[in-house]
Amino acid sequence: MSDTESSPQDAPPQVNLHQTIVRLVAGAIGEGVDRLMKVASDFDAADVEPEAVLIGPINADPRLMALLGWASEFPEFVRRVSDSTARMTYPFVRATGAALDTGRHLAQITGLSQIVDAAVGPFAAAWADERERLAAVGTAEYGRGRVLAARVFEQSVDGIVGILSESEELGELVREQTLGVTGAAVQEIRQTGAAADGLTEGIFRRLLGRDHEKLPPKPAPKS
Amino acid sequence: MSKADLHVLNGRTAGFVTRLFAYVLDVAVVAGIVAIGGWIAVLVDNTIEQVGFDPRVDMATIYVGMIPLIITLYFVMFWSLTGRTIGKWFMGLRVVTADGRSPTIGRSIVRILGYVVSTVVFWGGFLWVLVDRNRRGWHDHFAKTWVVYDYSRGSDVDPFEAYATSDDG
Repeated sequence: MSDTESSPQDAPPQVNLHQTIVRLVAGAIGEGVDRLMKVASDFDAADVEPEAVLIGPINADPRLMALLGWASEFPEFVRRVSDSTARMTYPFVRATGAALDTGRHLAQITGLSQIVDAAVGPFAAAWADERERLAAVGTAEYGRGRVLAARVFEQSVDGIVGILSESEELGELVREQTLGVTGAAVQEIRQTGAAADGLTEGIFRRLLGRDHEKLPPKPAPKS
Repeated sequence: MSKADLHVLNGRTAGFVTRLFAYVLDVAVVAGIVAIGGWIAVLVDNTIEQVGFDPRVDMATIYVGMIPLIITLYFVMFWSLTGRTIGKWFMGLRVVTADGRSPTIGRSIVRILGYVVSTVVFWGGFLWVLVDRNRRGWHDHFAKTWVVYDYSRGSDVDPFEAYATSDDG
């Protein structure tokens, strides 16, 4: 070992619980994102049917699919978000609906709707076909997305567990905490046992009418 | 129950309850060792049966016959090498001779035989610790050993050194 290595500055730093946890969580998130990107890239590079990835005119980015799939793994979270969103936006939706209803009634009364239908009708029919096709593709993509999400989730968890298990800081921290708790427990057991020794012995000696010293004797020295 | 000052007790003879705890722990450890050995014996027995080894070896009988040897080895090895078994280590105890050293193999064998005697007389040899002036059981008398509190960390620390310099109280 060189002089530099043995200098006091190289002594292992004091382990701080909060700093360690924050560093580990940040590292885990960073690693998780990296893994997500890697899995998405692998998925992108994998042998998949191009038309299955295409949704209408939009070429769905596998990363986006991975994110969507990942989110779908948390239905409770999604449900709560959608519920909250619905509650917040309800007054606006209601007001918008009322305005549209009013406009539709006005259009029917004035005959404006017939003019609009005649102008937009062909485009709307064409769009309906495209919409059905996209819905079919989307349904197929949903299953693939879930599979991909499961893969991402699995690998992310593996990555986080790997980080935690490989972390020397965390290992040292766990070791210190465990040793501290174990040591305190053993100390407690020993103290209780030693106190019980004196108590039990005192009871027996009183029953037998013998003297009981406060401190136990020492072994006889070798003569 | 008030807590005992372990520092003051270090090097003094240990009482019944602590020794009982240590003994129970040792019994548990030995039972575990015997159980693992039994499992291995069963594996060997099954292998022998599959191979069709002739003459047939009854591993169960052989293993049951070895159990007293395993128990003896456990205690004698630990006493003579370190002065403390796993149970005694956990409870902070050490078996010492009059000069503060760990008992020899011979003394350890005498001590384990003393265990047998202490046990067969309805554990009278162990209960003797409660009434003996020096807190010694029959097996301690047979082997000329003492069991002392030793809360030092290393096995190379002389337990007598602790109270040699301490206040006798």
